[in-house]
Amino acid sequence: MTELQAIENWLQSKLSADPTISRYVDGRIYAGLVSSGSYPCIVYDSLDPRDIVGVGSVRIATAAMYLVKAVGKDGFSDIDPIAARIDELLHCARVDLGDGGMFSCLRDRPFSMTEPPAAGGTIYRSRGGIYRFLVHD
Amino acid sequence: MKSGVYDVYNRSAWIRRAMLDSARMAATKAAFDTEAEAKKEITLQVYTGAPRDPLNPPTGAARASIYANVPGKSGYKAAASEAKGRNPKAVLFDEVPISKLPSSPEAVVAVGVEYGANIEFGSTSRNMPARPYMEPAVNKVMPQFERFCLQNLKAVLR
Repeated sequence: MTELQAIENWLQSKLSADPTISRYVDGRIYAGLVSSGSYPCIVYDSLDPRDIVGVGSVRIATAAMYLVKAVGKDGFSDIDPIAARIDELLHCARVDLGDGGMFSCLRDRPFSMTEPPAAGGTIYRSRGGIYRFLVHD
Repeated sequence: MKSGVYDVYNRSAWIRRAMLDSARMAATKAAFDTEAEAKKEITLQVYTGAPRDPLNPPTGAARASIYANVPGKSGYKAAASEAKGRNPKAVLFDEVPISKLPSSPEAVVAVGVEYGANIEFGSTSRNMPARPYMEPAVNKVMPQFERFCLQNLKAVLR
């Protein structure tokens, strides 16, 4: 399993398993693209993953930034509680991957965006955080 | 009244000016480096490989609209005109201004097209995944910027 796959599997299962998150988004948790027309939902996507390499070709760890955001159409009041819950679940999380591997997760910075509507469409708002994952083999 | 021989030796004004000059140089270099890196990254992320939407292939306006503003020099006009040339329908943000003082240690790197943030962070309205180009560019340039600042600081205080 690759490092990014491990992170994404954990993100998906961690968020899906939480009853508070489920109450808000009812399983609508997507990697990369929103694939249904129902909102609010949660979208996560990888931003600039990179390896930390030691002397020679020794790979020490992989650092990956993930944008994890709640997306909604009806203003920030709908998505703020979801973003807060995401942060409670992810910030300072440490996960043992077995075989000596583990990763940790810290919020690097909060995220908030109002998207300009494309061609007279809906205004989408998103809020969440950019999380830094550090994966050790 | 004091008497005797005095030698007033005060370098504080010189040090202040030298540090300001050095910070301005570092900011200017970092801005141009970041602009170049961001253009490389966006080329990899958006313009390499098969287009996501073959009917509307990328025009290159986003890459062309990345600009750096440093004291005494604005890259906005050239970037905006090239972006408009590539995609006349592209909506551009206004220029991000910086201090007019030529000695100000300040610089800006920005993307002109209004969907620049949509490319970086993904977009629900445009159904786009995140294809970051500015964050990786900043991450690449930051260590060089820190090294450059440190070297300059050592040179000033020597």
